[in-house]
Amino acid sequence: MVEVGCWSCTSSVGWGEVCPTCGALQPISEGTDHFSVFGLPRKANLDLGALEASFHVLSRRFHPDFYQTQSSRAQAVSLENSARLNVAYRTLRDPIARVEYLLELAGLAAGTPSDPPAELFEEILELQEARQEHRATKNPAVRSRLQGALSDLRDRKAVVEEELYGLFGEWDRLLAGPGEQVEKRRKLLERMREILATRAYLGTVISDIDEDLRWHMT
Amino acid sequence: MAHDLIVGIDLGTTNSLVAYMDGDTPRVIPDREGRSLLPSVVSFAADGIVVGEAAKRQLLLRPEKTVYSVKRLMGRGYEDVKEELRFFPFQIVPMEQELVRIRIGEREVTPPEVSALILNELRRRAEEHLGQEVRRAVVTVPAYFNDSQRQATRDAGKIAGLEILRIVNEPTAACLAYGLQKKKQGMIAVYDLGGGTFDISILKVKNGIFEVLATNGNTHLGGDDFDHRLMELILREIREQFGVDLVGNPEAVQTVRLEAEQAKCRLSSEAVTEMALSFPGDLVKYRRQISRKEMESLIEDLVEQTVAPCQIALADASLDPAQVDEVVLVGGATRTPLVRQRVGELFGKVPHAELDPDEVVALGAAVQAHILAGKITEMLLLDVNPLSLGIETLGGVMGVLIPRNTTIPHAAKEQFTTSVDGQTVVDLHVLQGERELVKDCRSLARFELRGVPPMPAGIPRIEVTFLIDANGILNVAAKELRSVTEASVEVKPSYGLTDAEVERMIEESFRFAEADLRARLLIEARNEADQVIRATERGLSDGARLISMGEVAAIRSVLAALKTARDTDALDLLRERLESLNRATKHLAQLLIDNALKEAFANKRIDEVAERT
Repeated sequence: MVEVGCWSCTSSVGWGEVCPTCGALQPISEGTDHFSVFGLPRKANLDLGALEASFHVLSRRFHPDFYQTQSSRAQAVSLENSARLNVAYRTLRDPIARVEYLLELAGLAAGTPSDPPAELFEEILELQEARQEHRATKNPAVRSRLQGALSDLRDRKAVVEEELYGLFGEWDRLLAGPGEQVEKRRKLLERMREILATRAYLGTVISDIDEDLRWHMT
Repeated sequence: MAHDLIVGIDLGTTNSLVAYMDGDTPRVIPDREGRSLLPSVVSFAADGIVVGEAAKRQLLLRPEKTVYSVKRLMGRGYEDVKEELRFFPFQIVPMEQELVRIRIGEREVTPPEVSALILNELRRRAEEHLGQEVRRAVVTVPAYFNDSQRQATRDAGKIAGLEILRIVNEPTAACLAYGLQKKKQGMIAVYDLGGGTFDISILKVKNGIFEVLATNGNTHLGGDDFDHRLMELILREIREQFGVDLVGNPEAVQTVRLEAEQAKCRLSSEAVTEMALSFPGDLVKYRRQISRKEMESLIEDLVEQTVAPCQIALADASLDPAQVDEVVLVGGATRTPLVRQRVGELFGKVPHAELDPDEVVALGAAVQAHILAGKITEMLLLDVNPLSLGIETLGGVMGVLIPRNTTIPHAAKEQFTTSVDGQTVVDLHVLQGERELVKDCRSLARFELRGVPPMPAGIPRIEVTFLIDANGILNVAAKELRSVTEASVEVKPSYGLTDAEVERMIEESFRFAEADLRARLLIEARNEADQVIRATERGLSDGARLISMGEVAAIRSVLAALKTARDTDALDLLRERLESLNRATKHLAQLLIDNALKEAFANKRIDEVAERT
């Protein structure tokens, strides 16, 4: 942990900690990533129970409720730290948001593709036609076909997610391994990015159909 | 330690309460008559402003000058309240910033000013009871309140000279009141059906930390709507039976409203009740019985409307109803048996109703105040923002920056650039809501990022930080990253008061406070004068024979002088003349008392004689 001078009494103290000399809460350094906020390595698999416990400990340390009677500077630090902590916790506790964040840290934007993944192309075209027909005619046969497609797409999304989670272990092994595996790590991240793109595409189609079925009732 | 007292205030639609921590126990502070509820009613009479019970009585006498349910108007635009205007006998006018004002005779007031008067009354009550000054408070709002409504609440505090240390969501306050943090771990649903709002909150408690997982609700659903249903029934039946339409008569509508409210309350404990209404000068004599069953059929769909928000909140929290361990009832409308029954069915368990559902929120606010005062450290409340916050993007689409049910405080950073060469100002439109199109969301504010250094289009990188604080209120800061200049942010709230307006209202409130005090003293002096005048006149007619002609004439002249002063606004003169009359009649009063004693003696003897026979 980086030692800095306390903003209040200039004693040596780690960022995000409470100064042992004067009790002032220290700000979290500007460039700190979400994992470091919790003092965690950038692993894909996280123990959610431990993460929550750590979130609670840090919430008790940072939350503005406990700084209400202190100086406005101390209140500002507490507000800033709490916001940083909450953003970090929200990102890390969700495996999808977590892997998106790993991509972001590696400089690979997650981004959604404008074209459907090749293996889905035909099917998506057919579904688009079915959606239009359903909206125009409210034909019950088309409706039940869409319902079938919806549950099929949901299953497929779950499969894609399982595939992604399957890569988490590999990532963690590479992370612990020697530095020459940089290239392997990059390859793995790109694979994860592809899976995320497919998942995002499936997600959009699912919500579109879901909305159609909900609003265009017979 | 007297100075660090912080009270908890439930600033409600129908009633407001104030509570404090008595040792480790939260207690509601009653008024002198022992009532804990202060009706959220303010009456602007010519001779002064009255708040609470006294104002509630004015609902009938001066409906056009008496404001109730002002919470429904807090931070709201004309469009938001247009629908319910017909239920308000007072006049509501749209304001420049689209925020409504209330017209009282010649005077216009904003909803935060009216709320400030209620806060003031609560503060006075607390100061009287506790014997110390009260300057700081925790105030609760419905979880579903948006940024403008929270801002308006904070403005009300400022106008009342009360520092609102924290705005807490009502349902979360209720959990604190029940002390459910003592559970090691569990899921809690708080079902809060108040006078004007419905909230459902799902909370997780673990190791003393309350984490709000999801909230949902309806800002326009509550016990008042139950009253309205019954009121509409009565108005319709009166129209049918007597051919009289009372809708255009505000006083009559108020009478019907109160009768409906009382009948509704009685039906929570009785199976059948009778309603009776008659209007002087009219031929309307309305009387009918209503059963609980019939009442339930009137409100069934309203109760049903609370179910969908519960389901959405549960889904947001990724829970089944069966996973909820505790259900807490809040708000007077949860006394309705049909509501309890439906909540029980929905969650499959008997809800908590041990604490008074009217008091539970204020009690929780007092607990939160204790936390802020540093007196409780083992408990912590992690609240969420109830609505998604975003900005307008190309094509009138809402781009979400902070999704709903995100733990607060929370910050989101977003980068913007320019679209024209040399552009130095960038406009941003901040929105709140769950809909995709800007037009369906609520406009919170328009920001102008000024001071962007002139550069070719697309080159500046302006980083804007949206920070939601622990009160759920938005703060914005902007920075141009290429030149590292801090762009200044000018905030134009879409619905709200500017800082300057709040300042002006604070000043006005001081002026009014002085005027109010004067008005109060004047009323008291007039009442005293009336009493003394009556007593003197009686005294002269009974006892003129006991004193000299000259003395009678002297008293008559001082009496006439007092009568003249009584009808002016000159308080000092009035007091002076009251005093002179008291002096002038002292001798007469003494003689009258003596006389009375003699007579009493005589009577006694007669009584004694009567007794013996």
